[in-house]
Amino acid sequence: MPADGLTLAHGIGGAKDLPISPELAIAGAVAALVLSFTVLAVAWRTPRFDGPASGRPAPELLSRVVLSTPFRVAARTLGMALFLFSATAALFGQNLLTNPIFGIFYVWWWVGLVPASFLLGPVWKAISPVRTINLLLARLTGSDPERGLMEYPARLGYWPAAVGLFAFVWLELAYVYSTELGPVRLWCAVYVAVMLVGGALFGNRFYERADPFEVYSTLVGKLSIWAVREGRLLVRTPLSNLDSVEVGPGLVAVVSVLFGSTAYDSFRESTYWLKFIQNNETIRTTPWLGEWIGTFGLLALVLLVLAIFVLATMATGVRVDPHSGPRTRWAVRRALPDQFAHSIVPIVVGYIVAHYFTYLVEMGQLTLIQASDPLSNGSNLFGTGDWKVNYGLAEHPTFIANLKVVAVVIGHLLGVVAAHDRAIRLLPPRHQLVGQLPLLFAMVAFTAGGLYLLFAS
Amino acid sequence: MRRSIAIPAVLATCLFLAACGGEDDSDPADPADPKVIEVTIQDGTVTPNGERVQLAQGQDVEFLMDADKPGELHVHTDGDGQTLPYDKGISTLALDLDESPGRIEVETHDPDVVVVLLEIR
Repeated sequence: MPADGLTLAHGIGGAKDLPISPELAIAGAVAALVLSFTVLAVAWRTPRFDGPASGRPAPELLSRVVLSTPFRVAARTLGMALFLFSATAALFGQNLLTNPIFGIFYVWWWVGLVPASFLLGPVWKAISPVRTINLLLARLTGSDPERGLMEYPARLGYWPAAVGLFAFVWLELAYVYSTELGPVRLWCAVYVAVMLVGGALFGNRFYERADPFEVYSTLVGKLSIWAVREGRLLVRTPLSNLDSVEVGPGLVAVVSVLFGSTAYDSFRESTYWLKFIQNNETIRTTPWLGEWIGTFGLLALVLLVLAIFVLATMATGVRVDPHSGPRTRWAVRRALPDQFAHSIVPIVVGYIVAHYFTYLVEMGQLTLIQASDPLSNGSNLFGTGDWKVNYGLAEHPTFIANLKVVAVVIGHLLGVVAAHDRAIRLLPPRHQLVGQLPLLFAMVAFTAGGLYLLFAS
Repeated sequence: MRRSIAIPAVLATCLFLAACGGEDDSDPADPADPKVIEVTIQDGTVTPNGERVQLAQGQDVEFLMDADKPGELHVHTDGDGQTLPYDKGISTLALDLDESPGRIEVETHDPDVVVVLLEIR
């Protein structure tokens, strides 16, 4: 049954951002196009970003503090505290929209992880409660948390994380009961269970590859300036950092879910989609279809992004030994999408900023206020219960619109540069420029599509 | 970053910021007339159905309802939102809005439909 108050299948939150003007959308798309071809025309011909080898050491004191045991323990404690608080609200709180669990789950955790990782690096790896529980259990049983009963199958790669991320965005965007306590509680319980079993079976490698939030946070963290190598904190440019993303099977699925889901979130607010699902005769007369049409839409967009990217990265000549046969050619070609997938990450982050900035600022405050009353019994634990959300940001619609477009265009530019550098490294000399064109067009299509959705939603 | 990329990047960004920046918050005077929106609910069909309605900041709305069942309009403003109950038959609902620019959904729950999207500019 719907929770009390204004429940909506559209998630939490009140007023939304205005659509951007058509002039701004077109200006952004043109800027993206111009920048893309400028990069192609004037950019370097030898690889510039040597991710694993690059970086300058950070100040000694900072490095010692951040990598010290007390700091790590503090981070783990923070994560556990948030986990236990959220568990209390989820298990003993009421099925009301004022239960802070919804804000913690959909705003602080899902959206908040992005700026936190962008600024600080792989945050979830440092605070993850499931890693902490795994660590504690390992200490209790005298085993090593790094190693489990067996080796994590390399061929599985990032696929479990892609599935986990899809499970989250499905709950958030397509499931009609997304703001009910039961489903959220169940999702979290299954997540914790799967993570703990996986950690016991495969050790910490499981979290690096299969924990959806750790994979997400680590990928966004590659856009920060921080890296750690041989026990030393390093500082390096975001593009060099991005170059060091560990390629693995399923990486392209992860970025496709992230981009496709954000696109769907925009798309489902467009008049076109709204009129379609509300006026279409088949949907209105078939009860189950009304509930599942969102799922089809989400899946369709994710698969569309995946298909475009895979085709664009494979539509090029490959570098193989002249004597090798078609099997080898195909194997090399099939590996290309995962090797270019990191270049979608800046585009995803740019689009996340565009779509969720005001949402994070406003709903983040609301969650802080609601957090003082986790059991919905009138308490005011942290003293924030009487605060009012400051909606001042909404008084500056032009600033918000410009911010969205600038974020998307900058994300696009970084993506094109990252893809170019990878192409230089991977493709045979004859194909280094021409072979990039399909991917370039795919990225321009993604950016133009994203800007169109910001205009039409 | 190389200058040959940085310069077009900065130029492009400045160009469209300059072109599209500018007019923000001119004093929003309260427009005298509320916007009138006619809503018809018959046999589970709602008209209008997902339409966009442009409003000036500070402008109020009047819904002219024609319903075959009593129900409620839910207006998703910031905070708790507003609930406007209506009876069967013809009635007028007044919606006082004191909102920042944004997009506000107005929906019914029986049937589960977004009636209009109010765009306050």
